[in-house]
Amino acid sequence: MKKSLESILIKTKASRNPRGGFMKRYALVNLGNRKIEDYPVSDEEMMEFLGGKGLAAKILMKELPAHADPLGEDNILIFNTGVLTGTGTPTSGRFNATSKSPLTGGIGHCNCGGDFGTFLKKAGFDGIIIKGVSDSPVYIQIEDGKIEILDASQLWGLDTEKTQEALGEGGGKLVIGPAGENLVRFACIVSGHRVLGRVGLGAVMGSKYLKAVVARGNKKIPVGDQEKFREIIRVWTKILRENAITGYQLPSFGTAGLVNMTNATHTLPTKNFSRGSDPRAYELSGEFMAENMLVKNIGCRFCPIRCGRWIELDGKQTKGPEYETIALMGANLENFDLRKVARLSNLCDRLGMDTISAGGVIGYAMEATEKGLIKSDMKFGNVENLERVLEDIAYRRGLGDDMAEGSMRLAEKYGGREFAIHSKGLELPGYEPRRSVGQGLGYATANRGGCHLNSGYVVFFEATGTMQIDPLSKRGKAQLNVLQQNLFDAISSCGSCLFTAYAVLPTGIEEKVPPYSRYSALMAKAIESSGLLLSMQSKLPLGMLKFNIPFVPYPIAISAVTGVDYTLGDFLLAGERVFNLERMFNLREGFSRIDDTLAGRILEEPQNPEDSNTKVPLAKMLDSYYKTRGWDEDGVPQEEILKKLKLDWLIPLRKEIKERIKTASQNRLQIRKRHDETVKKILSLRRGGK
Amino acid sequence: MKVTVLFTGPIKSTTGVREMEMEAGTVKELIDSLNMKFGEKFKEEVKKTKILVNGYPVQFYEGLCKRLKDGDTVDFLQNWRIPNKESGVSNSESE
Repeated sequence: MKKSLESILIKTKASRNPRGGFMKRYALVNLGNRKIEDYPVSDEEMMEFLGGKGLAAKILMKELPAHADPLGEDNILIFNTGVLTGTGTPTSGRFNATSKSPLTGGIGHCNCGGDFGTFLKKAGFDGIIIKGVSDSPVYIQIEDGKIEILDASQLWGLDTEKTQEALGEGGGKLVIGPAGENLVRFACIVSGHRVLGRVGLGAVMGSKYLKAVVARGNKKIPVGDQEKFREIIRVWTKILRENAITGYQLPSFGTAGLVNMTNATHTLPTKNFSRGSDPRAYELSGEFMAENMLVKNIGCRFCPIRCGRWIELDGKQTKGPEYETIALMGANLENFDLRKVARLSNLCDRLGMDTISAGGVIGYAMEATEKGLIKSDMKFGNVENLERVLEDIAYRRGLGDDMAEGSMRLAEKYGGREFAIHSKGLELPGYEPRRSVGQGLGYATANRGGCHLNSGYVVFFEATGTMQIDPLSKRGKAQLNVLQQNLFDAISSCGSCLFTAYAVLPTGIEEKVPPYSRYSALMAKAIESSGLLLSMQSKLPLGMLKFNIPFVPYPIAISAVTGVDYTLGDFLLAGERVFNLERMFNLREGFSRIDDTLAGRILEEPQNPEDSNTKVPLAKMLDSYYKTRGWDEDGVPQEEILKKLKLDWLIPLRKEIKERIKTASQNRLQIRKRHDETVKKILSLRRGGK
Repeated sequence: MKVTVLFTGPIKSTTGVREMEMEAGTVKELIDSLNMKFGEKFKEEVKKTKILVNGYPVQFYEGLCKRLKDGDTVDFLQNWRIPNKESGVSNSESE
């Protein structure tokens, strides 16, 4: 390495006003009155939140009235970019979408790769905020500093593939399919080959009669210090290429390379999370895909990892399925035919539907059918009818109309809540938490609900990574979750891919210490015991960490791109700020401690009936988690935490939250029941009106 | 005790098989038998491999003394690593 990362740190005490990274322009687009205006965002806000999901959470908190209907005209949908998006640092093709989720009722955000984020900046904007509801189908065109609302009558009804084709070549696109139009609560937004998958933001677009957003432009994205910027790209790319996961495993086998690992560690959700492994799982693996179907790797803009798969299927070349899809549409439904998983995955993309939630909902419906709660032809291991089931959901036909509401609402109607596998209404992804209890805590505390990314991905330490800690022990898990969640929120906000975090951790430890040895167990104990130190993290003056370290390249890249002196402490503090802000949003919307939970099966039924430890001991970990975060026993951030994070403006809200905390969840449910009627109202109005 | 043994990751290219049945009373006995069967290369590779009995890492049981029961599954799970041509270790099942 010619120069180390430390040597390219900006040492001069620079101004806090960024000279690069941001286009310094947000637009507010009102689809109701068709008014388009600039939206003020200060330099300070941009640097405090790094753009992306953090800044979007602040805008949502400020602009969205409390208890707004997620599918009503008050809801706001924000598409924005992080400070690094589009600049050319490794994996900087990422952008964000944020809204109030129609699936959970809490904060809903998605981080996506592809081209849209880069083109949004090239069109001259860091982000757009969409409010109001159109009275006819429209799409938004953003081009070289100009925004137009255009007629989309000809596009309404098309699937996502045909919509993207109809919008023409070039630029970045966001489109919804029939699932979004029909307000399926887990409808996604498709962008090229990538997907803003979770929490139903496609339905928010559908509720606004917004079919697509297109961004085109040729503006230059400014960079604060060109020389240091070029060097950080070179060094960071080298780090990613030399790391075993980002440099070999992901390029060779894609995310599907996880299947064999989760299967071996019994963390592969199988038969609606009733098991964690199956002898047939190899045939779903990335290794199997590489041997039998892979044509080439595909990747997002600026990504040296290229984890995407391009496969041969039914005589055509097409996108290959990701790990999460394989877990939920494969093993979880006892479907061990990778080609069938790929077909279902591609159909979900065309219909515009999240594969994880779709797999979770179908898994619940199969078990409910088996138990006689639902009458249907769905059966574990039988995938022949699933294409029809997915279409029924997307078009809300028959039982599909109920399934389109997600597994939480489905179980409220038909029973069997203990095996409706979700947290806060969001279906759990591809890691069975009863063999990775820290991951279970992450699911329960993630602000967007049962999500592997917002949860902090502690399963990496418990099962899939090279450093292994005891997957069934409670020790240190709360502290590790907090550290990881904060780091992930900072990475997402700045516009990088979370997969770069793999390269933050050292690999090759197993080369020196046999993983099965007592030394390895002692090392794990040391990591678990570091929880004591990590438990201080919310009290530590992170802003005092005025230095950077070579293997955490993000703050170094932010320094180079913005020209602002930016340190590891600033970065970790930004992540903590984002997580706490999102928590405050959820508390405002009526979530409380009782919502930080998991399905009965996960908490009470041991995965291995002979080992009572194979379930998630949530209550004790949750106490420790709140303490580590500096939250009180109700899960509300203490005043001093809000002050430390420069979220003082939320202190009055904190007082209001505390006054009504005991009845918050009950009130939220009553409001939700009223909002749940909106789907029928909108669809009936549109059908009658057309 | 008759157990099912699974090899995942680069170690599979050393054994040449993904799955086999073996007889062993403890994990140590199982490793000794596999060392005999697959030779020096396996002996070196197994030191870099996670060993799980029915999905749980042996180091959090009694380590290599972990006793095996009929029908147990023992996974030898090796994480992927950057290929090192000098070591002569093949890293990929699809190479």
